[in-house]
Amino acid sequence: MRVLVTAGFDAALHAVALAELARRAGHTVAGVLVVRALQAARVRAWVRQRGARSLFDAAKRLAGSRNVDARDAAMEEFLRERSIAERSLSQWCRVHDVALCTVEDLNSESACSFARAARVERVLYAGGGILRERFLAAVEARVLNAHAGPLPEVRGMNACEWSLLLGCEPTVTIHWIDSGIDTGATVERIAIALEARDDLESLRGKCTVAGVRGLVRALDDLAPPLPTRDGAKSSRQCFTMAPALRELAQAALRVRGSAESASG
Amino acid sequence: MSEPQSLERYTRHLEATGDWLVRSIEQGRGGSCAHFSPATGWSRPYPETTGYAIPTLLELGLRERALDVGRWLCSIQNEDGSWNGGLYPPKKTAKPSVFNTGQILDGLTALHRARAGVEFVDAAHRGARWLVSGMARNGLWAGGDYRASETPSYYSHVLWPMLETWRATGDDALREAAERGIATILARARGNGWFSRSGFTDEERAFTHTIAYTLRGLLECSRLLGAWDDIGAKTVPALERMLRKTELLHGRLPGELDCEWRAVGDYECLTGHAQTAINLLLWEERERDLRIVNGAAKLVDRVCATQTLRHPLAGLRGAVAGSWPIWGRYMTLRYPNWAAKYHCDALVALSMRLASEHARLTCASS
Repeated sequence: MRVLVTAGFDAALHAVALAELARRAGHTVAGVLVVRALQAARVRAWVRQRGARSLFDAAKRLAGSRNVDARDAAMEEFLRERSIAERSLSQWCRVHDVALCTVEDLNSESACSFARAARVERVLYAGGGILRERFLAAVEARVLNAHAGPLPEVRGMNACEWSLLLGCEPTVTIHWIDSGIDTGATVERIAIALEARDDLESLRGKCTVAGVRGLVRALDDLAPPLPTRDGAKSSRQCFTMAPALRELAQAALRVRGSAESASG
Repeated sequence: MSEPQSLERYTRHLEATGDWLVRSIEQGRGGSCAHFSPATGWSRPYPETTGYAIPTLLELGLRERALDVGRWLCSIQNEDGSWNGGLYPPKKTAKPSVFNTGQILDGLTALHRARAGVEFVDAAHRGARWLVSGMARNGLWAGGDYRASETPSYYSHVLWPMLETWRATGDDALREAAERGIATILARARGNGWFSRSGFTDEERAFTHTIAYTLRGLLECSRLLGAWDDIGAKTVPALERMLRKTELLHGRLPGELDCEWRAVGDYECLTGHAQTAINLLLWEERERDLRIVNGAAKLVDRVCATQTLRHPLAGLRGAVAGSWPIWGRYMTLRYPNWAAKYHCDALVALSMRLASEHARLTCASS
C-alpha cells in the first residue's frame, strides 16, 4: 500500500517510527510532509498556549535533543529496540530515498499538490495541525489518526490527560479523520495499562507507542469501522489543560495507578 | 500532603488582591475608591461597587470592613430609598440610579444573610421598593439609564438583588416585579445566544463586563427562583460561546464582542475575564464537567498573569487593570475596584472547586 506520513516537526520520533514500521511491513512510503516549526505564527501560538518559558524545552526537542521528558524516552526506547537509527524525518527520507516536503501548513496548496502527486492510498497522520477540507479532498479523505483518548467521549487536545479526569479508561483510538475534531469513524480501540510509577508524561509516551503500532496494524488489516459503544456519546471538545487541571489529572493518575497496582 | 502549586498560587493572588481592595476602602473615606490611576492616584469612593464588594469582603473574612462600608452606604441613602449614580460626594446634577441602587442591595442583603443587623435589610427593602416604584409594565425602567435609551439587558444584575431582597423580606411584590423584568430580558435572546442590548449603549456590541453581568443576573435569578429550565438554561448558548472562545484564545477573551460574537478591538477586559470565569463555574455547578472549569482557570490565570504582587506603589500592588493592555478601551489606564472584587470572587470560586476535586481524589486513594 502507498502511504504518506505527516508530522508537525522534523525530529518527531513517532513519525520516524511510523514511517519505518510501515516500510518494514512492506508498504511504500511515497512521501513525508513536515510542517515548518519555526514560523512566527506558530511560535506566537505556542507562547500563548504554554508560556515563554516552554520555548526552551521546545527548542531542545526541535533540535533533536532526547530525554527532555518521559514521553520522548518511551519513543526513544521503542526505536532502539527495533534498531531504528534515524532520529529525524529528513535523515530517514535521505536513507530510504523518500521525498520529503516541508510546508508552512498541511492545508496549503503546496502540501495538497505534494499529497496528490504521491497518489497514496492512505495518509498516516502524525501531527501538523488540524486538517481542513482542502487536504482531505486532495487525499480523498483517507487519513488515519491515533487519538490518545477514547472516542467519541474524549475529543480534542490532551485527550490522554482528560481521560483521567472524565472518568474514562486510558485508551488510544485509531480512527479516520473527517472534517470534524476527532469525529471520524473508529477503526480500533487500544486499552492502555496503568502502573503505579506512571506520570502524565510516561502515560503519554505509552499512548504514542500504542498509536504507532495501531496505525501500522490498521494498514495491514483494515477492518470496517467499529460501531459506537452502547451509551457512548460525543461530548464537549477538550482543549489544552490549564496548569491547575493538569495537577488534578496528575493526582487522578496517582490514584488510578495505585488502584491498578493493588488489583493487579 | 502539600497544597497543589496552582492552589498556592491562587492563594497568593487572592491575598494580594484582597489587600488592594482593603486599601481602596482605607483611601475611600467611607466607601471603596472606584479606581486607582498611576497618573491621578485614588479616585473618590463609588457607592455602587462598594455595595457589591460587601459579599467579597465577607467571603474574605473581613466582616468589620463589610459592616463599616454597609453603614456608610446606609448613611448616604436618599430619602426615597434610592442611591445616586456616580462617585461620592455626588455632583449637583447627580440623579438617583436604578443600576447603582440594585448593586448596593446586593451588599446590604449579603450583610443580612451574615446576620449583621436589621438596619441593612430595612435599607435594602426601601431601595427595592423604590426600584419597583419606577418600573414600567414590562418590568424594566422607562427612559433607560446610564447611556442607553432603553433599559439594557445587563439590568438582570438589578433584578437579582431585588430577588435577594424578596428572600430577605418576603415582600412578594418584589418577586413579581423581578419576574416581569426577567421575562422581558429573556425575550431579547437571539438564536446564537446573544442578548440584545447587553452593552452600555444602544449599539449591538458590549464589553465582556456587561455581557457577564447579563448572564450572571439571569443565573442568579434562576437559582433564587428555582427555575433553571425557564431562566438558567437560556444562558447556556452564550456560556458555551464564551467557553469556546476562551479556550481557542488560551484565556485571552476579547474585551468587547458584537452580536455575532466577533471581537471588537484588540484588547482584553480583565473584569470581564473574572466575571466570565465566575459564570462558567456557576454553570459548572450543574454540569459537573471539568472542561468548563478548565476555561475558568484559563481566564483566572490570564488575570493573574497581568498582576504585580510586589510593586512598590501600593495602588498597583495586587491591582487588576480595567483593560489589557492597559490602554485598551475599557477603563483606560485605570485599575477599578470592581476588577479586584470579581478577581477575588473568581479566585475563591475556582480554588474551592479545585480543592473539592483534590479532596475527592484524596478520599478515593485512601
